[in-house]
This record gives sequence, structure tokens and C-alpha cells, in this order.
Amino acid sequence: MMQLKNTVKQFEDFKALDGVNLEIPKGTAFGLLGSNGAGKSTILRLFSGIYKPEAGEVLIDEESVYDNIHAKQKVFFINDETVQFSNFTLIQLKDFYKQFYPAFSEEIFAKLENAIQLPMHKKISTFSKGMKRQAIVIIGISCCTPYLLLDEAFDGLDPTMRIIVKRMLVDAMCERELTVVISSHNLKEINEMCDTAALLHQGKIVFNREIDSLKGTVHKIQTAFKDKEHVFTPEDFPDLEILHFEKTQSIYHIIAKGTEAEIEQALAPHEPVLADLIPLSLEEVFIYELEVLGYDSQVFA
Amino acid sequence: MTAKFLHNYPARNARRIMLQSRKFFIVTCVLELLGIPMMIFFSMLHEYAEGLEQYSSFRNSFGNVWQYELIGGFCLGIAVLMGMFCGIRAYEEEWNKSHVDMLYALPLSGKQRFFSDYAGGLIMYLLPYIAAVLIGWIILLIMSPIVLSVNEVYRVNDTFSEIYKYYFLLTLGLGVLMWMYFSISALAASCCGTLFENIYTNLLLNLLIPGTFAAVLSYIINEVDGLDFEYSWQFIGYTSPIGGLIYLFYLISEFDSDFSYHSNSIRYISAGIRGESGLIPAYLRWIFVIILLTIAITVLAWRLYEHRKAEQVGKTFVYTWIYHVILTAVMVCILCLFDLDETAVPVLIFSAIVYFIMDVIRKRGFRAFWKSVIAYIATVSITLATFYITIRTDCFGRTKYVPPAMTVSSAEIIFDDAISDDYLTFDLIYSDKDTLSKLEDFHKDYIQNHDSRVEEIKNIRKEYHYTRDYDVFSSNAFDDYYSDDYYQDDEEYVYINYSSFTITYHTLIGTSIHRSYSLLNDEFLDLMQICSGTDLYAEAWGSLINRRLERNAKNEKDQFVSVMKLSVTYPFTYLTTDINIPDPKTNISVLAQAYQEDMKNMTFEQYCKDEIICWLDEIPVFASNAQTLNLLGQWGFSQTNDMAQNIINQARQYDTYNSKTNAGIAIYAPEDYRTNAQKYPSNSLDDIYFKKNDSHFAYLDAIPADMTIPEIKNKLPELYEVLNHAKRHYISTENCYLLSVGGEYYFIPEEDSTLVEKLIARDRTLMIFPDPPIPSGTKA
Repeated sequence: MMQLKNTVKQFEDFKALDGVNLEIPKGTAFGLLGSNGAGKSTILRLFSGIYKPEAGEVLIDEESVYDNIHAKQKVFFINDETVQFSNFTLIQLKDFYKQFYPAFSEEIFAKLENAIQLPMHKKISTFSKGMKRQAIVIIGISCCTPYLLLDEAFDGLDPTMRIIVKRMLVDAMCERELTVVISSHNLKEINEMCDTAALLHQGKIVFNREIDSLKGTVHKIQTAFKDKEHVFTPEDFPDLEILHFEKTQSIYHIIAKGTEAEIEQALAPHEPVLADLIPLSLEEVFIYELEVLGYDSQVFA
Repeated sequence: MTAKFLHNYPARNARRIMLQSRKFFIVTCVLELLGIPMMIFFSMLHEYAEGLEQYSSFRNSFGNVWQYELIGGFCLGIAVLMGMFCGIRAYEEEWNKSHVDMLYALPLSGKQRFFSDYAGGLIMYLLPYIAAVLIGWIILLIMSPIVLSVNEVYRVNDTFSEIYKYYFLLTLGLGVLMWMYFSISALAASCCGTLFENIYTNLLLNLLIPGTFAAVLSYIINEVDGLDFEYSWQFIGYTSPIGGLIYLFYLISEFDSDFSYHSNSIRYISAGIRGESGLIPAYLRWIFVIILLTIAITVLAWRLYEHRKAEQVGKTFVYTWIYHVILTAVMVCILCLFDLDETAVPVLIFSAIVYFIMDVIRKRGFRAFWKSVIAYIATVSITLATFYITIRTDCFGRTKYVPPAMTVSSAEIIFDDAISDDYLTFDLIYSDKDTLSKLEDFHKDYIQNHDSRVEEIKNIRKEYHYTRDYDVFSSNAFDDYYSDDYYQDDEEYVYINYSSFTITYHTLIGTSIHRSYSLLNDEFLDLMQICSGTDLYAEAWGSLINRRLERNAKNEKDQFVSVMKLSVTYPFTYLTTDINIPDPKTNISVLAQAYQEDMKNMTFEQYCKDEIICWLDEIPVFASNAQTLNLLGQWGFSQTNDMAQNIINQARQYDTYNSKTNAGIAIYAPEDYRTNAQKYPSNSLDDIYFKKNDSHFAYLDAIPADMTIPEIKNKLPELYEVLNHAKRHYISTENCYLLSVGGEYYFIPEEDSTLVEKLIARDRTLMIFPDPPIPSGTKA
């Protein structure tokens, strides 16, 4: 299990993580969502032992990861850059990482490489952006670490390759209970890949839930009430946690947390003549959750 | 065990550095392998060609291959400088943002990462050097028999064993300095977060530490009495690889080239060498300290690396104190190198410009500019205040400190012999408590009274004119009578004759205290009271005579000649006479032993008052040196005992290039002249001061140019008697008559004053010249 316990990470005056608590159980595919600068990459770097927290703990299987060789051997981190590998060929890169990760599987490497067909003896600097990504993902999976951390891992991959990479990851998860932590702005991918996701904003976790449960707990409601003279406000619905409230003529557009039954129950006292409940996509949840926190695209409107 | 190490993670990381930097590694290898082997090969080729027959075609082709040696030196120099880039490459995660995640995420602890980076970089840097040194050895060993077969100089002197020794010492020293240089690169990498600052800090650390040291040293030494630049600068060898390199070459080249020319009594304190067997101990001491410093720098670099964070890559200076150290060093250098009394405003403007340029570079802009202004003012103020306090307090009292004799194990004194014209330098190491105690008293007396003595001499200068010894070499006894060229009325330009003196105390706890002073004549004589008659002093003279004469007794093949021709110089006319020393190999030692015995038996009184009979290669032989004079007599030396004749000849010698002139004679009454020494007013060691009063002559006359010596003896018996009792070398506490003949000065000993009084009492009508000319040099 990967854990953050009251973790604080500060870059000079900027607090990137402010007392974050997070648990990622083994075998899960965990998605990290958040606005730019929310602290997603910081969490990944903390888990991979690159950063040292100013306060709190960062644990891998109950061991502090910073400066701990044993814990670091369990984690492979793929960041959003590939320039550092430019001078390697794929075969050199494999040999390099193989030295440091004793569980490295030549078999898996050969299988993946065979599937993707990357040039083994050409310098990675000559690869396209997508090919570089594929190369490092292959290496990352072949290292056979229990934890794989991917920062914007699917950037630059074409749709077909995305599917291939995702399959690779899913296979690894199935075969050896690999824990994958993905940070991405692409909510669709998180939606497809992850079973759990956490939303970060300004160094704090807004929510941390299973994606399926997340999907059923926030709804978009289109409703109209019998009393057309009365102008309803969010205060008229005290039992509802409203994320967004808007009125167009006599139709109210509400985004609210809660199950269908809870929402219907909350609306019932006001005698709705129309109540259309649509579950929100993850992207919509992301947008409306952040809107509540003041991170609103409307500021540019 | 080795296999296990090679397969562990740090070793893998070190290998990663070498593999990733292999192009860089290849360049270093090529430069190293071109450097030393090329220099050795072409030097040997050159020596071989030099040993061949004069008109050999090989000699013509290869006798002048210094260009190739220069290319080798250039390659070696560049290869050595690569240490900085090896450090930068090894610690890429410190400045290259894109490498941080990759390298910090590897399963290595910070300690393992630092030291494996260190090992990787160092191997990349030093491995080619070691290979080049080994190839140099192979070339040296293969080619030395070939060179020996043709080059006689090497065969005769057995110089090759010396060359092997120096090659080993130089290459080992350079290797250690390269290690230090690499460690400084590691330190710079730990302190900086960008490539530019890495290079910038590296260069400045290497240049500024020795530069600041030298600048501060010269500044303080100029202001504080007692400190010695020549001695203190040896510490520059510990300040940086550049300083170390200077020290290393100085140590070896000075020892190699100069030592054989001098006596044991001349030591190379500036290189820290002690005597003939001192090279190795001095070298080992130096190399030991350099290794300790290198380890300390490495540990510091590691501690800083340990405390820096991955996210600090990209910051100009991760540790700003290093920036402030560099900045302060730059300010100190600027303030030291210019004379603040004269050019304060330009210096402050210049230092401010440099300060703000460096500040803008660090901040990449003008953020918080007012803070920089305050920091500049604080830096300059603190620097100037520190200088002021240091100088005002005589380096916090250190320069005035004299260790008690009971705490001293030995005291090494080095002084110039004031009676010799050749500035012979003596180096004597005393360890007996009696002498140590006398030296302590002497040193304390110097510190307490030297300044007041100098003031006293300056006051005398207001009342007296002075003449300098070289006045007597003016071409004619009557020339330059009205010339004031040789004296100055301006007090600022008072010329005071000093002889140099250094003392190094080696304390019982193993520390050293070194001081350097300029002695007045009285002080020099006080020192001589301590030294003369001691075995060490006599041995030093014996050794000096042995070495000096032996040098002249060998032919170009360094073999003793069968009979040695030695020029002996008479002290008055400076004319020389040749004597022949048979079997110089044996007899030079015999002479040296005799002279040593004579010097040991000579009392301080004799040292002061004995006439110098002759000079042997600038070494004085006194009248009391009976054994020496006896040996010289056996080899053909004859003394000229008639003092009056010597004095007259001396006066007339200057007439050689002119028409014959009458030699002026002047006698000064004891109260009318003073030397610059107070304790010994009758002092032949130095300048003589005359009263400005015109009527100060006790006696004034001249010796006619056409009068022969027997005629003088008959017609002027009183004068002849005075001349016969005159002394050229005379140091006494009695203020006696001073005689000037033809511009040359002589002393009439106090016990012979009646002879002068008898001459003065003569009826003036008997004087040959009623209004005689005054000899040159006797300023009225």
C-alpha cells in the first residue's frame, strides 16, 4: 500500500501539498486528477523518493520511501519528459534499468518490444515523441516493480498506441497485482483505466473515491416546479449539496451531489412538474467540483 | 569481494556515468596520453641529440624539439582542466532538470548516489592520467640507457636517479592536486543548481582562494612588521590546486637548481624545505595536508549534497553562502590590490560595479536591489574594518608574541652577514636552552626598541649629513666635492642600512612561529654576540668555504682538477692575486676545517676589530684567522702588512684614469661624526654621518701626488704613523677619530688617539697644503 500521512511539501513560499492524507491499496489503478499546480506530480515524486516531504510521512508498504533503497526498488516512476534518455538506445536503457531493478523481466520486455516493434539500436533521441513514451513505458513495465507511477503517461501516443499501452498496463495489473498511479489531465483515460481517483486542488484532496461510485453520486438535474411565481434559490433545498445552480426561464439546471432517490426526495416538497436526472461524467464532476472551489472557467467569460 | 562491489548499485551508477560520458572520456584519454608521454619522449630525444657529436644530422634534426614538448604540456594542461567538466558530468542531477527524476528515482540512497557519482567522475578523470604516467615511466626507463650511452653529463652526475625521483614526485603531486581539483568541482556542483553557476563557481573557487590569500598576505605584510611574504606564501600551496601546482614546481625546481650552489646555511624556507634531506619531508608534509584537505572538501561536498533537495535544481546558488564567500573574496581582492589611501573613490566605485554585476548575474535581474546596496556596504565595511583592526592590533598581537625559551624546542635563525659584500646568508638552528634564552631576549628587545631606534636615527639625520659607502668609488678623490647627489635632506628619504633577519621557533607542541625583520647595525651586532663563537656559526662558515671553493675546483665534467687556481682579493685595492692549491679535493676540506676552527676560536671582540686580510670568494679572512692564513701562505699568498702603504695606494688607485692628483686627508673629531648605529658609534659596517658644520674637521691636509711612500714616511712621520694605525674594519663602542683618505674611511682606535692628537698639534705651518681640498665623500 502507498500512503501519504499528513504530508506537507513546500517549494520555498509555495505549499504544493498541505497536510495530505492518501492511501492507495495494492492492485488498484489510481487516478490523480487536479488543476495545474494542484500537486499531482509532487505526489508521484514523493512516492518515488525524489522529493523529501517537509512534514508527514510517505510510505510504501509501511516503509518511508525517501532515501530508502528497499522501498525505492518497489517503485518505477515515468515522468512527463523523455529528454533524459536521449543518449541511450533502447537496449542500453534496458541494460541500465536492469542493473537497478532485480525483478526486471527480459521475457516481458521482449514480449512488449515485439508487440510495439521499436528500433532497439537507434538512439532514443531519434524517436518520435510517442515512440519515446512507448519505450519508457515498456521499460517501466518490464522492471516488474509492484508500483508504477505514470505522470501524463499517455501524452503523445496515438489512439491505437494508447489502447496498446493501456492493455499492457491492464495485463500487468491482472498478472502480478501491479498498482498503477496515473496522473493525467485526460479524464477520459482516468475514467477508462482507473478504479479509484482523487481530485486535488491547491495542495489538498477534494475527494478520493471509487470512480464508479463517483459517477452515481453527482447528478445534473433539469427541473421545473409547480409554483412558477416563486423564484427558487439553493437555500430552498437544504438537504442537497448543490455544486451548480442556474435558472433559464422556468427551468432550473442544478448540479448536486447525492443519489437519485436522495435528490428526488429533496425536490419533492416543492412539487416538481419535471425532474430529469442525468449522472455526470468524470470530466463534468471535475469541472463542477473545482468550480465550487473557485477554479472556474467562467472567470474568462 | 571485488565482483560483489562491481555488481552493487553504486558501482553500477559509476559505470553509468562513464558510459554516458564516453565521448568525453575518450577526449580526456587522448589528451592525457598525448600529454605526459609526449613530453617525456621528446625531452629524452632532445637529451639524446644533445649528447651526440656536434655536427650529427640527428642532432640537427632533434636537438631542438621543444615545440613537441610544448604541445605535450599543452595537452596535459587541457587534460588537467577537464577535471571541472568531469565533476559537472558526474553530478548531472545537480544542474540538469531533465535528469533529476531519472537519477533521484533510482534505488540508491543519497550517500550512494553522491559517492558513486564521485567515483565515476574521478575514475573518468584520473584513469587516463595514471595510464599516461605509467607510459611515461616506460619511455623513461627504455630511453634513459640510450641517453646515458651518449650524454656524458648524465653519466657523470648520475642525474637519472634524480630525474626518476622528480618524475615520481611531480606526477604523484599532480595526481593528488587533480584529485583536489575534482573534489572542488564536486563541491561547486553541490552548491549550485545551474550549469553556468557550476562553471563560474568552479573557476572562481580555484582562482579566488589563492588570489585572495596572496592579496591579503601582501597587504598585511606591507602594513605589519614581522611577517614574511617569502615564508608565508608557502601556505598558498594548500589553498587550491593552482596554488599547489605553484608550490610543487617551486619546491622541486628550486631545490633542484639552486641547492647545489649554496651552503647548508642557505635554506629554502619559502618552500618549507629544511636542509639537503629536507625535500622529501617537506613534500610529504605538503602532500599529506593536501590529501587531508581534499578529503575535507569531499566530505563538505557530500554534506551539502545530502542536505540539498531535488527541487533545487535550477536555482543559481542552492547555498547562498558560497556566493557570498566568493563575492566577499572578490571584494577583498579588489580592496587589497589597490592603495586605498590614494585611490579610495575609484576603488570603491570599481568594487561596487563588480559587486552589482555579480549580483545581477545571481538574481538574473534586479530583484530587491536595495538589499544588494545594503549588502555591498556591509561587505566593504566589514572587510575594511577587519583590515583596520588586524593591522592596528598587529594581527591581534600575534606578530609581537615571542614564545618563552622553555616552550621552544629549536629556533632557526637566518640572517645576512653585514660585513660581507656578497650578502652571505646564514641559517643556524639552535636548540640549546642558553642560546634560546638569549634569542628570546634579543627578539623581545627588538620588538620593544626597534621603532624608537629607527626614530633616533631619523633625528640624527636632521643634524648630520651622511655618505654612503659607494661614494668612495667616485673616480677621483677631489671629484663630487660639491655634489649633493648622495644625500637627501628630506626626512622621508632617509636611507638606513638594514640587514635581513628571520627567526622560526619550533615549539615543543609542534607548532612554528616565523618572523622576519630588518636589523639595524646595532641589532645585527647584538645578534652576532649571540652567534659568534658558537659551533653552528663556525660550521656554517666552514661549510660555506668548502662548497664555494669546491664549485670552482671542478671541471665541466664535474671532476676535481689537479691544481686549483684561487683568486684572493686584497681588501684595500680590491686587486687580486692568484694562489695555487694542490690536490683541491683534499686541501679544500683542510682549508675549510682550518677556517672553521679559526671562526670558532674568534671572539666577538676580534670579529669587530680584527682587520680583514683578504677575501676568498667573498669570504673574509681576519687577521686572527691564523690557521687559514698559514695555509694560504703555504700556497703562495703574501700579506701586505704596511697599513699606511695600503691606504695611500688605495687613495691613488682612483687616479689611474686621471692625471695624478693629491689625495685629500680629513680627520674628524670623535664628536663630529656618528654612524647610524647608536651602540657602536665607530662602525665600519655602514653609512657615516657628518655634522653639517663646516668647521668640524680636526685636521685637513693632502698627500702630494708626486711624493713616494718613503718620502711620505720621512717627511710626514706623524701622518704616516696615524695611517699605520688606521683600521678599515673596525666596530667599537668608543667614539674615536675618523680618518678619510681619498674618500675612503678608516678608524683610528681609541687607544691610538694620541697619535692623531700629536699630528694635529703639529705646527700648521708644516702642513703641505694650508688650504687643502676636502676628499670626496667627506661632505661638509
